Amino acid sequence: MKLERTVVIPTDDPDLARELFQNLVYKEAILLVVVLGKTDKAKRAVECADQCADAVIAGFKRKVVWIREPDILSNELASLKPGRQNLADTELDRVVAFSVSLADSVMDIVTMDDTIDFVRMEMAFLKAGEK
Amino acid sequence: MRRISCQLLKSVGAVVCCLFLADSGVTQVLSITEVERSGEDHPIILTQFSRPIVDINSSLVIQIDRDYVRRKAGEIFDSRQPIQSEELEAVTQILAAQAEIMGSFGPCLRSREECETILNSVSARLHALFEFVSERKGLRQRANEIFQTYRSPDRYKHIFALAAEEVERATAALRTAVEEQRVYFRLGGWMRNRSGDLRPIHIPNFDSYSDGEFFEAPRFTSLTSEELRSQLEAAREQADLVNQSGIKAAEGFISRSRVLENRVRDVVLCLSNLLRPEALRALSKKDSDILPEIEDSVASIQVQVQQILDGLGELRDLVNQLDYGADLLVTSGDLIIQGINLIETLKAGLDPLKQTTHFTIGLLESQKFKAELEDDLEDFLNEADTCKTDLDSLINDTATWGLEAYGYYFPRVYGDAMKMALEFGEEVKRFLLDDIPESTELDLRNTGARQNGDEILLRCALEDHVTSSDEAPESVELERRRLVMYQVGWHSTMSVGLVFVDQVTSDSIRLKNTFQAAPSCNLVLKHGSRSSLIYNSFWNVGLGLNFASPDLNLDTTPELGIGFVVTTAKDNLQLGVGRHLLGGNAWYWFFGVRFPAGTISVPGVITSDER
Repeated sequence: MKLERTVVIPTDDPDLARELFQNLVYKEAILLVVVLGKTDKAKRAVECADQCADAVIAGFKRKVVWIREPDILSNELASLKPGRQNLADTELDRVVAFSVSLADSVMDIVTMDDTIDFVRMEMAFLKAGEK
Repeated sequence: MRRISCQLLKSVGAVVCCLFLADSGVTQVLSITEVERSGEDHPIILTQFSRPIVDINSSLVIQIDRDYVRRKAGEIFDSRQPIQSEELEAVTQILAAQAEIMGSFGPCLRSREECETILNSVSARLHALFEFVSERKGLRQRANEIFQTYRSPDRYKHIFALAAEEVERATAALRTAVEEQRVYFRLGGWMRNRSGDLRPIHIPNFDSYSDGEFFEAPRFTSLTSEELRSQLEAAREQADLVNQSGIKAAEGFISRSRVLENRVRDVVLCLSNLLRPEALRALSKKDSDILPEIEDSVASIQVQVQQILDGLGELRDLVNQLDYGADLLVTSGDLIIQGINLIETLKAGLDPLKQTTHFTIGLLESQKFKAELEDDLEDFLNEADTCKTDLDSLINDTATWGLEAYGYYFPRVYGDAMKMALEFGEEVKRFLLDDIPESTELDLRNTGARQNGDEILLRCALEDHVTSSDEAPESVELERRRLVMYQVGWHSTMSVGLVFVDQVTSDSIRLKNTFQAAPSCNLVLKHGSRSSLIYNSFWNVGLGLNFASPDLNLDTTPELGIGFVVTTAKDNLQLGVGRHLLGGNAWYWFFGVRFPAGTISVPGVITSDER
C-alpha cells in the first residue's frame, strides 16, 4: 500500500496519537477524511481517500488520517463537533470513515453499509468542503 | 342595504350549491356560464340529476379547470407520469459551469474568506455531480476507473465528460419516455334534437368541425301566409267533420288506443302461455329422479321464470288500469314509460332464459326422458321468439305514438343521455395537459337549426398516447353535461287548430250542436322559464289573441271572430272569449282540446256564462 497524503496514527503511543490527531483536526486548515480501524473496508477506504486527496480546491489541501485503533482516541472522537452529521448518532464499530470540515465539524460519515470506492471517498471530501 | 342582501344571498346560494354538489358527488371540470344576447350572464349550476336550461340563442362560456384535469390525470395515469427531469436540469447547470469549477483547482489568491466561499460553492456542485454519477452503476464504475487513471485536476475533466455523456443519453431517453407517456385531454359537444338524433357541434378551439348554419330562433314567430292558409284549410275540414259527425269523429283516436291496449293484452297472454309449458313443469319436478344431474340448471330456470312472472304481474296491473279507459295509455306519459320499461325488462329476461333452456336440453342428451321433454322445450323456445317479436312491435308502436302525440322521448327512442356512448370524432382535438385552452365560447346560434327542448351535450375525457394506429387509446371520461335549450323570457307563438264555440249572447241564432267546431289561429305571448323544465315542456302558458271562423248563423259561410285566449299544455288546452263580427251583440266562449292523437279534437265540457 502506497500512501502519499495519509497520516497513520501510531498505536503504541497514545499521547503522540492524541497530539497528531488534534493538530490535524484543529490546527491545520485542511479538509480531512478520518478512517477508523483495520478492516478490509478501512484499508480500501484509506487507499481511495489517499488518492482523492491530491486535489486542491481554492487553495485548500486534503489529508487522510488513519486511526487503526480508534479506542486509543475514543475521547477525542467523542468530542468532535457535529456538523451535517453527528458521530454520536452512529455506532463507532459501524463507522469506516468520516470527513471533517475547515470548521472542525463532522460533515459526512462512511459506514460499513456503503460501497467503498473512489467515488464515495471523493464525496466525503467534497462534503467536508461545504459549510 | 339591498346590495349587501344580494351579496349575502349569492354567498348563501354558493355555499348551498357547493354543499349540494359535494353531496351529489359532482365534479366540475367544466364551469359553464350562459351569456344572453343582452350581455347578462348566468352561471350554470350543474348537478347530476337536472338538466339546466339555457336560452336557445345565448352563448356558453365554458371554462376548464386545468388544475383538476392535471390532478385527475396524475391519479388515473399515475404509473405513467413523465419521469422527473429536475435532476437532469440541475446536472446540466453544473456541466455548464465546468470552466468556472475547473478554474478553482489549485491555489487561491484571494482572501481566506473568499477562498472558503469558492470551496463551498465548488464542493457543493461537485458533490451533486458525483451523486448523479454514483447513482448509476455503470457510470460509477467508469468514474472509479478514471480515478485510477488520472490525477487531479485532469480526472475531474474526465468526470465532467462522463456526466455530460450521460446527461445527453438520459435527456434523449426522457424525451422518448415523455412522448410515449403523453396524456391527452379532449372536449366534445353534441346537439340532440327531440327525435333523439345526435350530431356533433363545433366547440371553438377544441375541434376542427365547421360551424353549423347560423340560426337565431325568432323571438316573435309567425306563420307564412302559405302555411297559414294550408293549416286553416285542414282545420276547416276537421271542423266540418266534427260538426257533422259529433263525437264519432274521435273514433280513430279511440280505436287506435284500443288497438294498443289489445296488443298489450296479447303480449301478456303470450308470456303467460310461454311460462306454462309442460316442459317447464316437468323440469320443476325436483322430486323426480330424471334430473339429478341438471339440478343447478333447473334452479336457474326457475329463478329466471319467477323474475319474468313478477314483471308479468305488473304488466297485468297495467292492463287492468287500461280497463278504465284505453285513452289512459296515451294520455299518461308516465304509464307509457312504466309499460315500456316493464316490457323491456320482460324482453331482456327472455334471452337468458332461452340460453339456459338450450343448455338444459344439451344436458339431457343422456337422459331417457330427453325425447319426451325436447319437443316441449322447442315449443317453448319458439313461443319465446314470438313473444319477443310481439314485445318489440309493441314497444315500437307505443314509443312512436308517444313521440308523435306528446313529444315524449321514451327509453327506447331516447336512451339515457348520461349513459349514451358519445364517441369523439377525429375532428376533436387532443391537448397535452399543459396546452389545454383555459376557456372557449360556444355561440349556440352557430350550431344550426334547433328547437325548444333540444339538448346540448358536452363530454370531456382523458386519453393516453398510442404509438400504433391499430391500438385503441385508453379513454377515461372526466365529465359529461346536458343542457336543454328553450326560448327563455318573452316570446310569441302562432298556432292553428280547432276551437269549440258556444254562443252566449245572440238570441236570433240557434246552433246545430251545443258546441260549434271552428278553425282558429292563436297568436300568443309566452314567457319561457330559466328554472323549470316542467313549465317549459308542459304548462307553457300563453296569453294572446284568437282568430276563429265559426259559422254561427248556419248559413254555411264562416264568419270571422276575434277574441282573447289563454293556452296551456303546449297549446293543447285553450280557453277564451271572442266577439263575432257578424254584427249585433254576438259574444261567444270557446275552448280547444287537442288530444294527443294529433290532428283530431273532440269536444269537452265547459261552463258557459251568459252576459
